[in-house]
Amino acid sequence: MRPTARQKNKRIVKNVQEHHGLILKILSVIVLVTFVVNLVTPDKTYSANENRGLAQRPHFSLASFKDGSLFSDYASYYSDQFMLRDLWMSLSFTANYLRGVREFSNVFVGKNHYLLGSPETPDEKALQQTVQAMNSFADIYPDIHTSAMVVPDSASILGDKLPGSAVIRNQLSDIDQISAGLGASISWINVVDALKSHASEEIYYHTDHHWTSAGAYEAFRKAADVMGIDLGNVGYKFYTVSNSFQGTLSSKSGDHRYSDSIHVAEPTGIDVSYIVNYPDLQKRSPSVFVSEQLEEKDQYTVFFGGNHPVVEIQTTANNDRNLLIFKDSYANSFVQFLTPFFSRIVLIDPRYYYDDVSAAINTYSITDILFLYSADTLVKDTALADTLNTAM
Amino acid sequence: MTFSSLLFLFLFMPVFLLLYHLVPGRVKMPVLLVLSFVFYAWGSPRNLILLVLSILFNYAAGLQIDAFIQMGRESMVRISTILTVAVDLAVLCFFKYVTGTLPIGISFYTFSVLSYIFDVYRENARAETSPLYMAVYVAFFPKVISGPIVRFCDFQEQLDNLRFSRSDLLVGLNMFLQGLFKKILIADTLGKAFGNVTSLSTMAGGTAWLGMIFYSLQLYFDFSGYSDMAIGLSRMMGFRFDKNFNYPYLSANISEFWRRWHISLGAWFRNYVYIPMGGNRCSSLMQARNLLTVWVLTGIWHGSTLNFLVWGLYHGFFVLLEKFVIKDRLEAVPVIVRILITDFLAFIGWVFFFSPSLGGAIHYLGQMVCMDGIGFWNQTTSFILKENLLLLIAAVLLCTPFVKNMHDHLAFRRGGVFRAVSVGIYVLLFFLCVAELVSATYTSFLYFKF
Amino acid sequence: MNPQRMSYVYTALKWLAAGFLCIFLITSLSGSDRTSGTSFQTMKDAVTGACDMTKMQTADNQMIKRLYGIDPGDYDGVTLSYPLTNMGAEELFLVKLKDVSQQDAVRDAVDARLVTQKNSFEGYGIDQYAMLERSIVEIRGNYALFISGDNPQKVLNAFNNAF
Repeated sequence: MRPTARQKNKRIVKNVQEHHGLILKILSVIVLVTFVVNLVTPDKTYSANENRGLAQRPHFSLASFKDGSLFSDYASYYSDQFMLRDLWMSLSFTANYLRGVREFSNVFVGKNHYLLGSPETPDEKALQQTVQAMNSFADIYPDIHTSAMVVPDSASILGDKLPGSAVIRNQLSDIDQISAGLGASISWINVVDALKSHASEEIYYHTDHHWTSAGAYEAFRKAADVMGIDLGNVGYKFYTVSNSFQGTLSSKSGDHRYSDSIHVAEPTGIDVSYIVNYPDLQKRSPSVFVSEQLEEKDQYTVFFGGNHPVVEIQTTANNDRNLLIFKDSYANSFVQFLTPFFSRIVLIDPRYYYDDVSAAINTYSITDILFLYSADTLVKDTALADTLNTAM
Repeated sequence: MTFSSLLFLFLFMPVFLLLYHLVPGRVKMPVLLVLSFVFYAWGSPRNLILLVLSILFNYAAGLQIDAFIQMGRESMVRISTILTVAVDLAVLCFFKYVTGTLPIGISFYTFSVLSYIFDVYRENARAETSPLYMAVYVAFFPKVISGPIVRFCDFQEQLDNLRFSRSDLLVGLNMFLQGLFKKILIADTLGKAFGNVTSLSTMAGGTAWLGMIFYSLQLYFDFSGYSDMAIGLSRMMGFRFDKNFNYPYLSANISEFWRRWHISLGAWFRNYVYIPMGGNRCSSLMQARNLLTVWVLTGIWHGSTLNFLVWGLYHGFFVLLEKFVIKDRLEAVPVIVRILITDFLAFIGWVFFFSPSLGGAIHYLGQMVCMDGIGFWNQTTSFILKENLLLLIAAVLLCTPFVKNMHDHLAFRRGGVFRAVSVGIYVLLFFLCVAELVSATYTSFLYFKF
Repeated sequence: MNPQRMSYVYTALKWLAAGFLCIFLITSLSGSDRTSGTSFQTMKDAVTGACDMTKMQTADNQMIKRLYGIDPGDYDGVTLSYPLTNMGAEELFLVKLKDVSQQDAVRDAVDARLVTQKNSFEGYGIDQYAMLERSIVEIRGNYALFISGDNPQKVLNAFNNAF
């Protein structure tokens, strides 16, 4: 017997009630569980995935109550300490990726599990002043052999790995402009072609904005020509120190699907040892590698333990060449190839360096200077110009 | 506080619902009031003082006007009403034009108190003797910050007959959830896409068009989503308010658009401005004047800069055109064409809404016709479209009742496995909302600054 | 109660509330425009007194120019204490303006300094970056303060009290 209209309506109403009722029950359970778990679990101080500290419970103060910051701080605290935070972020990433998003916080999710950071837009004024300062500085020391290397980021070399239709800034032409602005007293090291020809050889990390040791090696081969380094019998043996590296691009984008390997190089065919001195830590070490850092989140810091204002390396190399490198973190994985060829290598990171560089040049009897920067850092940097100008 | 936040969903709302339904009837209103104050004060405790002062002022004024009516003193009734309205508007205009930063929700609750005064003046409602009920009306947390604008006579009627059944709780929750999904999953995502477009200093024509479409859809889902949450929350307490949006992008002309978009605002202007001025029971010239007044006010209600006034006049122009010139001459045109033209006109109007100034709006319109000189379609346009194609299709579909009708037919009429799948989808969407809230600083509801 | 008498009560209540509304509006206006009569030395003492100075060193004019890009000679008083070690983020910067029109220049300088510091530590110095995020910039009338440290609120309170 076919149901009457009234019976049909009753069934619809019943379906509606039971449908909504079931949703109410499920959500109530979810809210209750969340409430209890959030209450009971202790507050976390740090998020490894996001590489930042997590907000803590704000203290009550009349001032923060009146201007409302108490409430926004509490809301930040609540969301930072929310249960299963990393899981929710993965869910958000996955959902957005499935719906077609390929750019997360200026990081492109590309092919072959490559994450590619969007190249930085230059601060034209700052860059001009930096190039000017570099030229003037090199002119003061005509007897010191000065070179410069500006390294493009992975998006500029591995363009074929970008997701379809992605548009990025032409960083290679920015680098060309820099080299055109540098004067005759600075020898330019062009690494773009070298990197491009080895593009299929894992020269950049998939999950981090740095180049790999393999990429640094190709650049080193090119630099050796310009800097007058005779490689002779020297070769390098590469060792894998990690297969679980998830770098800055992973943190920034929220894509944690891939882990990188880190390789380090030891020179072969030559008998050279060295001591690394960290004045800011008052510590010495027989190696440029700091293996304890592999326990940390940012495993790239296995090179020198990260950034320092000054690092001094004294080697047993039998020449009178003392090299000063003005650098950002890209140089950290470059120095491992230099140790057989200089009796002293001094690294200065202008972002943390407040002393007088001209004094350092005298103290260390510097014979060679190298400016080694990634393009992303250099085009916005003001610290290098400051440091150089203070010394002039 | 805002509905689409972790704090509200997992702390405030469950605590409120539990308290409200567990306490005995007489305690319900005080609980509602206290929690409404907590909700409002969250983030800006200072502005709560203003809200309370406004409530007290209008409470006393309403009783004063009513007393004069009782005493039959017509002139005093008129004078005191005018003075009260003047003070209320002065407060709003002070923050709008002098300080420039509006206390949250002031445009909405000012219209609430004005509705109260007008209703008392015209004897459509009795003056509220209980300061509690007066305060509940103004500070009612589901609507205090961003509407819908409920007229006092309607709210008083609800209060008088407040009945609550389990069905109200369920229906209200369902409405609230639908609003939540619209706001977080559709509107906020469209907001990100729109942000990607506006961050470009130069763009191809197509990119600018996409940006306009993103914004137009975002505004609808943002505002209607928030309204749905407000109406759903109210229903969960037993209050029944009318819907604030009725598929506005299915309108065949601009006049119809304003019967489907921000319905409570249109109703407010119609009841308290248009009809008292004579409405359409007067000469054509007077009617035009009345309409123009309403549209000027609509424009300036939404913002204090010139582009909002232009936007109001833009819509007013088309309403007048349709009423006095076109009339029914376009009936023969297929409705789908008329809908698309109306949508186009409305979307262009929103360019004046999202631009920070009149100059900015004109500049953007220029970009839409390739005045940046890089053509109509480039790689960036493709990239943006690719990233958001699924989202656009979903949003456009949801502008029609198609999805709802199909869902209701399958889940409620056919029931069975479809009903179970629907429950599963609701839970999944809820999880996605939580994921989005955790992973981002959310996009604040766009109408907040009013 | 007859409406006549009640109307007086209501009228009184109404205009009392209106009076408070007026006061509220007026207090919404003032605050940021007033200038301070406090001498630079007094302000400096108040602020450094509330601050843990052990991790900082005093900057000379050269360093002020270098880190902030402003010339101390243009202002009524400038003091800068910057980190002792290059890996620290503790910083205290106080300026007394000669004229309120200098607010924008100082604001730009402080913003630039904060951005530079944040960029230095982003990704590497989590504690330092967090400290910079909590730092306070207060430009009020003829004084400007930038404080990055363990308890910036305390220094801000001292600043406001001395203002």
